[in-house]
Amino acid sequence: MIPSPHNTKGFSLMELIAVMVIMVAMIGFFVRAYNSFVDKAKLTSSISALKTLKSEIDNYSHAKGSFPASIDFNSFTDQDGAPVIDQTLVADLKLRINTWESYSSTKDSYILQARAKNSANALLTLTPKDITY
Amino acid sequence: MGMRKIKRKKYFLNKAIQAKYLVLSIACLLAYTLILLGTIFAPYILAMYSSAPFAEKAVAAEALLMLHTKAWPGIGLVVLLFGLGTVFLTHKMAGPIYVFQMIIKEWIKGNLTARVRLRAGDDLQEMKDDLNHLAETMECLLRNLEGEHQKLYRYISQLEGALKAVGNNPDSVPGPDTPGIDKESIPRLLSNYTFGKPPDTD
Repeated sequence: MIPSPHNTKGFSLMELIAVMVIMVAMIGFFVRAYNSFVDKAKLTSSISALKTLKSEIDNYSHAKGSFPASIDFNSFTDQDGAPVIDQTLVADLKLRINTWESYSSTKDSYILQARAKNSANALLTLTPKDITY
Repeated sequence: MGMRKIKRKKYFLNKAIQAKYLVLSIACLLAYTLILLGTIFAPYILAMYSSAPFAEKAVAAEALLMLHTKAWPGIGLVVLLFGLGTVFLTHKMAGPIYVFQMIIKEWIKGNLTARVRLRAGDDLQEMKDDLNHLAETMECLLRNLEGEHQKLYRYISQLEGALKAVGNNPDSVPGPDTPGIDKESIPRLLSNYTFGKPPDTD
């Protein structure tokens, strides 16, 4: 009888382990790197949203002579119900910010805090001068 | 024995081989996907980590998030379709192997009239022709052997009859003139005879 030269019953244990280890290592490396890039993109997007908001609050300030005393974060209207930002931007801002935390203002300044959409939900602080996180 | 047609209805015929190639092809597909995605995503990732103005970084981030949202369902679908495609493709190999195994089992049972029949799109058509040729040759050899066996059986029967006649009536037929064998030893010689074993001449 001629012996079978190969094992034709699929993977050997070593082949299986080698393929699985390579696949898991590749996927693990890729997923970690990819998640960090997406996280960074989400943070950048949230900061960009706050920059847009800052620009809108500046416009409001120039028009009204002061910063809004309060902001309703559902409709982005001030204490008198007047729009703080262009209403077409509301949906986009809500989409790019995780949660709106607080807003307080004085005559010359304001502080707005919001959570970014990245995995750590970084606390972003918007002032007339800067955005910090 | 009649020829029995072996039908295939399942797509997972040889699970070990098909699963092996399914895993390997999905691994290759994942590798290609990672390379392709790396190529597509790389410009946006580089822009985000560069010293470009923030507006550019924001545009890159938005594009990356858009791809992140839209690309994965499509990629998942492609991987799924390719996985299923691999099962169909390996079926073209596993199917013939399954038929070969079934036919060889038929041959082992002694049914040499069984022939390999493959579908039009199946691979290993040449091997099918070789196996059928082998079966035809073996069947022909077996038929010749059976013919020879019949002839031998007839000759032995005739010889047996002649020898018995000699044993019953020693004067009517001349006895064997082989030295050392006399007429009385013939029944003993016949009782010793079996196929494949020469008569005992001691």
